[in-house]
Amino acid sequence: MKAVLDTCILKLASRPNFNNPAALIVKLCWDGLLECWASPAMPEECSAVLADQPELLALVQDRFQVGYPLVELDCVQHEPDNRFMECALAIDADYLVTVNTARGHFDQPAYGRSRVVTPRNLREPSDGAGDAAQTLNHPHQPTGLIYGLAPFK
Amino acid sequence: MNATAIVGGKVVKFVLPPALAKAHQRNATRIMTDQEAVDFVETKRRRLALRRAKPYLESRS
Repeated sequence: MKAVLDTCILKLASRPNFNNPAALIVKLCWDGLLECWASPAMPEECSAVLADQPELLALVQDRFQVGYPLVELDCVQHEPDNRFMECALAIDADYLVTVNTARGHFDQPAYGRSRVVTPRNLREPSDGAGDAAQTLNHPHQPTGLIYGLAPFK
Repeated sequence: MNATAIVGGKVVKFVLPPALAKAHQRNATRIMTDQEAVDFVETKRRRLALRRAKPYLESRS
């Protein structure tokens, strides 16, 4: 399962919040249960945001795969957000994970095949993998796919 | 080190990877809301953009 993470997710994951779904996303990436991707345009921003977290930056460089978007898009009003969308479309990502779904940012439920989800609503379906298709058919009712994994129960 | 996430009403407890455990230890009590994270990233983006534009801006002045 492929995902592109907004930089905010990495920042939130580094903080010891009581409720920290962003850290769970990074944990899934660490365990190899979620394929996280980045484009060459993103590491510089990650370096700036995670400058005080070298271990987390190393994790990103080590575990994230690099995709190479061939086109520059401007579908999202807030220009820097387009870099994430270009990457998501280039690799045909299942999810674009962000906390910024405000107007002018990632305000659509999906871009192409990539669904925009927040860490809080990316979760396992209750009745099996059949929900994957259902989820794609009903982008406005996200049911998510990856949480509730055995090691965490 | 363990962490907790509430996802879709379910409480999920999990063990943090070493990199995140170190980050959590370093940040200790410095929690952050979603909006603060967004603002933080935006500030960094603005600084980055300004740094990139600096040679051009200097050549214009």
